[in-house]
Amino acid sequence: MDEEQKDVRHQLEIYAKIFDNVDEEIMLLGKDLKILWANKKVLTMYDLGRSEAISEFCYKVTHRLEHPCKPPHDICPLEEVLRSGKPTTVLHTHFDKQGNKVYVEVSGYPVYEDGEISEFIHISRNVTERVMAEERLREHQRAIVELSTPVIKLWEGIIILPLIGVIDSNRAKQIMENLLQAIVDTQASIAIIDITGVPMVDTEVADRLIRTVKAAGLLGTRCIMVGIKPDIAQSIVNIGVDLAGVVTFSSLQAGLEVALKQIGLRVVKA
Amino acid sequence: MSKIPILKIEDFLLVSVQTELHDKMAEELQKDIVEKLAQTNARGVLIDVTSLDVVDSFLGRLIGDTANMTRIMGARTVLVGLQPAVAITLVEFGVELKGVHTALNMDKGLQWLRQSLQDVSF
Repeated sequence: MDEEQKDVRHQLEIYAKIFDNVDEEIMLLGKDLKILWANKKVLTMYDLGRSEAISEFCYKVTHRLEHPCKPPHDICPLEEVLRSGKPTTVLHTHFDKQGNKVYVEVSGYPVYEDGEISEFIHISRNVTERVMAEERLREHQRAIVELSTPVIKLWEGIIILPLIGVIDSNRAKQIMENLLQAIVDTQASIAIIDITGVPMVDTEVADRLIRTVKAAGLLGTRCIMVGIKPDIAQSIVNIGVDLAGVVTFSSLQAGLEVALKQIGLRVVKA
Repeated sequence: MSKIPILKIEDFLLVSVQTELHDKMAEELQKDIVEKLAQTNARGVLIDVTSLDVVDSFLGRLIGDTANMTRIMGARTVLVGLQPAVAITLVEFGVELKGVHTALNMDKGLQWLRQSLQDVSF
C-alpha cells in the first residue's frame, strides 16, 4: 500500500514538473468552458492565483471577454473540437496581465469519457515573434511591389511607367492598378509604358498590358508602349498577339516625341 | 425614383450621375438625353460618372448605345471621370465602350467636344 502511494506521489511529481516547467499555457476546461485546472505558465501570464483561475471562464482569462470567442475575430477552437471531435489549432490574439497584445497558437484537444467529449485540453503557445516576422515579410513584399511599378511624371500631362524585370500575372495586375491610380492623381492625358527592361513577353503579359492600355483609355488617357526590342517584337508576332489599337515604338525617344506633339509641344535645338 | 437632371450649358448637355443607376433608371436617362438633345439642338453631351463605383456591363452597353444615338443625331458624347476600379472591371468583362470618347475631367471633356465640333467636315 505504502509502495503504491509512493508510486502515485512519484508520478504526480513528474507531472507537476512537466506541466509547470513547459513554456506553454496548458488548461483543462469543462464543457461549459470553465477552467478546471491550469498550469503555472497560465497563472503567471495572467497574474492569477490557482484558486482565482479555477472555475473562471477561459475567454474571461485569456481574452478579457464576457462571452465566448466568436467569428470573425478569434474563432473558438473548442467549438470546432466539439463539432469534429478532432484536435484543432487556431491563431488567437490574447492579452497578458499588462494588457499587451500577444499572438498565440491555440490547440484544443478533446477528452473522451464513455465515448463522449467530457472536457477539453487547451494549450496555447506564444507565436508573437513569428507573426511579427511574417507581418514584416509582408510589408517588405508590399514595398518591393511598389518599387517595381514606379510611375514618374515626365512632363505636365505625361507620365511614364518604366517596367523592369519579369512580369507575372500578379505584378501585371499591380501595374494596371498603379498606373490607373497615377492617371487619376496626375490627370495626365498620356501615359508611356516602357518595357525595355522586360526580358520576356508571353501571351499572358501581353494580354495584361493590352488590358491596361484599354482601361487607361476608358479613363481618357492614351497609352504609348515603348521599348519593344527586336526579340520581343518577334515573339509577340510569333505567339499571335494582336497589338492593334496600341501605339508602339521601339525607342523611348520616338514615343516621347509623339507624346509631346500630342500635347502641342516640340523639341528644338537651343 | 428620382430623375437624373440634364442641364444645358452653351451648346452642350451636362449629365452628372450622382447615384447608382438601376437598369430602369438608366434606360429612362437614355431616353431623356436623346429627347433633350432634339429639344435643345445641343451639339454635345457630357456624362459625368465620377461618383459611380459600379458600372456593370448593362450600363456600359447603354452608355455606348447612347453615344451612338447622339452621334447619328449630330452630337458627340464624352464620358468623364470613370474610376480606375470601374475601368478595370469593364475591361475584365470585355466592355470596351466602343465609339464613346472618354476624358479624365470636365475640362478635358469640354475641350474635346469643342474641338470635335470644329473638326466636323464632309
